[in-house]
Amino acid sequence: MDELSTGELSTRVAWDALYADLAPRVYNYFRYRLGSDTDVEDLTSRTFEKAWRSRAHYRHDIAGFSTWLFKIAQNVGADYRAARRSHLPLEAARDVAVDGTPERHAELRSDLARLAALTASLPARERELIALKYGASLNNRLIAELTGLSESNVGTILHRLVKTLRTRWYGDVSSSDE
Amino acid sequence: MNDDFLHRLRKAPPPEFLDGLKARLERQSPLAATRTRRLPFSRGLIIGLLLGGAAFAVTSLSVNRAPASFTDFLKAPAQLLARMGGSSQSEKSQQRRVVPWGPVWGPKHAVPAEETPSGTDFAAAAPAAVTNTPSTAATGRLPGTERASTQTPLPATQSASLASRFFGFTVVAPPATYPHAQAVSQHLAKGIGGMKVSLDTGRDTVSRLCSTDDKSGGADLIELPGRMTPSELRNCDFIITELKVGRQAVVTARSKLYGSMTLSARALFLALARQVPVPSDPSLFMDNPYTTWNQIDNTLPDDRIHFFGPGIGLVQGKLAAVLLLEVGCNTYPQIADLRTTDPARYDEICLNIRADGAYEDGAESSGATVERLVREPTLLGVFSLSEFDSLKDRLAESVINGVQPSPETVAAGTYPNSRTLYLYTKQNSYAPNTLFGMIINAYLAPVTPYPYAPGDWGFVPLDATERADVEAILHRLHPKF
Repeated sequence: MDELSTGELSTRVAWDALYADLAPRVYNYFRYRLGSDTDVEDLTSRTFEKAWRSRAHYRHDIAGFSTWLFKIAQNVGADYRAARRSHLPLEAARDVAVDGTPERHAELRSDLARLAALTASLPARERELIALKYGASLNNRLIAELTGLSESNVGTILHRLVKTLRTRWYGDVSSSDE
Repeated sequence: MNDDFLHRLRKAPPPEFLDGLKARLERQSPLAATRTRRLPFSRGLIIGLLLGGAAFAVTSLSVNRAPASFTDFLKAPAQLLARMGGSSQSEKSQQRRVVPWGPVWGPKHAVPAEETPSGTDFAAAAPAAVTNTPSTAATGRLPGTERASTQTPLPATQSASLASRFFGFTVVAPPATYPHAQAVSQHLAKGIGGMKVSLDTGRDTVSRLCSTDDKSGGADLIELPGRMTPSELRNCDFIITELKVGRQAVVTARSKLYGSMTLSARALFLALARQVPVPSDPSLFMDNPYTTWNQIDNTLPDDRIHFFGPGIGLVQGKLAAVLLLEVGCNTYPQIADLRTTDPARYDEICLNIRADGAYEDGAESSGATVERLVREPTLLGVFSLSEFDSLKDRLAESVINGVQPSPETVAAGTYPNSRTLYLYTKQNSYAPNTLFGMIINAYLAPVTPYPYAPGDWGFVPLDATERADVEAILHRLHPKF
């Protein structure tokens, strides 16, 4: 049965489906990219508001909708990091262990903060790849489009990264267990 | 690669946040806002330079006296603009006549026949892959041109449906191809969010693509279980491109111990259909009375009619029914006529497998099926071509109308229990890294990337040569810039 009886309804259904699919992915992209839940809702909102305002300029013949939206998300994230860099660098996550406040300690205990701590020393490009792959759940082809790398290069870098992170992750777990 | 620890970090956003954001966005402006197409800066710059240059040249010529080719010279900027997409209405009309990109036809409002350029041969323009071009197109003259001069050409931008203007591609498929289209879309949905498949249960899939009056949301791409008919092409409001994407084929086979059967398509229909024509008066129908093959044709063995195949309520079973029954059904002219005069009755007769036990639903693995075929000499298994291919050392395939099933006979279109799937699109440009490109690439994958999707059962990808032909068609579309 064709549930779409009018063009407007068709657009509505497409929008609903796209929003349901992409909003959680953009949200998680920012979580992974920032290594914290702080400001993630704000950045997700900014991304969708920008996309919504510019939707008339979106051309599906040039890029897929996901690619276009995540390009906006990348720009929103870059602006955010540039604005905050002077007073809250991401590298601060590395020092979180010596911060004695209970809130900081709790944050460290969270897996996300652990990821931030483990990736803090990585170059920005690698952190971006992790966020796109595991936060946004994009495939390597789309990541390649967004980062300008080749698809095979994306796969190779990610493979190497995951291997390194896994070693650190489980090493970290065993050391914290002791 | 064990990366579970990274996947586990994902969490769902708070529902109140998602709902609030969505509501806020939708309050900002209506959803179905009309897209305002802005001229890209680079294109605007080029057009500006051309216009400026042309104005300068004209001024210069008028001062220094015009040469004999002055008139032609004046036309040059307009022709250049036309090629860049900035053509006037009359020039767009000219473009419609020439149809420069592929085996494409369509605009019913084309041009008077006598104005058709002598060199315009659509069949010649089409790559060799499209050999069975409908005769109306093969003539190189657009049909229906007698009423052409009374109609107005459409702006090219109208080719995008409402949904596609906003989000991406709307693919519309009739029930016959919907499962396959859905299999492709589900595969793509993991990576991109722009393909939406809409089932068209009526018989107006073509109008969803072709009609400017369509009220049901339009389509950017349709997948059909055969070629569009000449009249559908004639009545299409748009220039469209035809792409062959693959085939579907099923095979009936016994165990190799008992040898193959040689059947006609009609005998297969009479053995399997729920209702069959009364022999003395084929305009009347009866519940299928045949229990042995020699009741249908006395040259066939006195063996029990007994099939074993996918459940008839499943996607696979429905495809098997179509491919096994329809060709034999259409050997009766009065039934074939029902396709246009009474489609519901046609479907009832030609697409329904009998439910009296002669056809058994099976859910076993291929290996278990083969073992059962060894135990039961009269049992015919129903397989997809790829399943059969992997088991052919143990199976003896039925020869239908003298043709053995094989990738070659399926590709040649001579094997009766197969059909070719076609895509039709209004898209007039192509690049592999666009949404359209990704969708097409998914359709044309040499080895199916979704082998376990029910909708992909029976699908036979194009061979390398045919795929190259389709790619040649695609690359004749306007490239992306």
